[in-house]
Amino acid sequence: MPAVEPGHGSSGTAGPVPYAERPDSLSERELLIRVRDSKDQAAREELITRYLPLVKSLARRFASRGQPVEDLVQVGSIGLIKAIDRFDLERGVELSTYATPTIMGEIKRYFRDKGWAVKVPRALQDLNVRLNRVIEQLTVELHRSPTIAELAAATQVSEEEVVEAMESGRAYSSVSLFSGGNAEDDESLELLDVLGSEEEAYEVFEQRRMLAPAMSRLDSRERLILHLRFFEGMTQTQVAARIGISQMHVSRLIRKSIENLRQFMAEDEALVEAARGRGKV
Amino acid sequence: MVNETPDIIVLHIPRGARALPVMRVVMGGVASRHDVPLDTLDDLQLAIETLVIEEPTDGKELVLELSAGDDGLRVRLSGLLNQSVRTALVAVDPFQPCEGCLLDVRFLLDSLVDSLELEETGGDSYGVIMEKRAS
Repeated sequence: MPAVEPGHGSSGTAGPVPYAERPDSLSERELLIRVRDSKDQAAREELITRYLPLVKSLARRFASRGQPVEDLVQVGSIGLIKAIDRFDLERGVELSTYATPTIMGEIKRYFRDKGWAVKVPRALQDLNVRLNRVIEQLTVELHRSPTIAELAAATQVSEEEVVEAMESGRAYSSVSLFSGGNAEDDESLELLDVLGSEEEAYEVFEQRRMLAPAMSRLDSRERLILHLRFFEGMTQTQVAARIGISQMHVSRLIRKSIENLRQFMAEDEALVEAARGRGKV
Repeated sequence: MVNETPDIIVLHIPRGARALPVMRVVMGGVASRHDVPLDTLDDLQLAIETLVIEEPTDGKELVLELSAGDDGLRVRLSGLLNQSVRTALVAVDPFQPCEGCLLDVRFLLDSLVDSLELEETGGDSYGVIMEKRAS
């Protein structure tokens, strides 16, 4: 943060307002007025300095999600700046009240963008997120999985866009799959919370000869999804309702789990082949 | 005059996973025209993906024929060469292990689709016809 001298740093359209005292001695309201009225950079920077601990605190809440906290602080700072610039003094709320969701939103958006394995147009990403919600809503209303036409009507886009957005959703990184029910959730989806009661079911799963060695290498979440879909015979919609996530999410999880199984099976096969090769020597 | 032409779409797709997104989009389009629920569509897409991924990457293209009606979706995937999968699909015992397969294809397909039929097309290649009912 650059040092700010009194009288320097005002660059707003209303012209610089001379400082009678250092910005750090001004009240929050006085600083906000300067930002609003004269786009005062020094006042803005002072507010950023004061609220940086809030940004760091919020960033640390996402520390377990695989991104450096320093990066998250940077991203959160962008949210803070937006909050400062957009803050309405007449609303009668504290800046902290307004800034917190803005900072959180910026960090979550960062995770969402990071989660896309290939570049997908933002509009499609957004539609995909909307579809997640709408599918859940319509499934409850209709007591069945919705059709593409119904989704198109509900989201007011064409059926082609729905198909395209759903396909683009498959580009969503599997890394993010377990970090949230969908990208807009405020809190992590604690999928593990629902797993405890399913442990006994795995015994049945493990006893089946299908993929038994590789199955044991899946994590518990993946095994649960596969168990419900392929051994309990639940539809994707039923699995979604059971676990409390969207059908699209279940679809992705099934593919990810099956792909992991394939990899494990291929690795096991390679090990067997290597052992055979060594035996012949 | 009513158009009696069946709603059939035929795709010639290269071997390997890279063709799967295109295939899924086309299947989505067909499903959309016939009000097929999402989870039904997704199961059939996954069934096709399961077969395609088991296939060797060398060989002639695969042919995917899609048709749909009020009763659901029907797909015919031909040009298949994986003989391990072929053996598993015709096995009397559905729980016979699919030796040489990456996954237990028969088990997965039986779970994903409502009907499954192997079609001999001559030589080493074969086709698989699968149906998924709308309800």
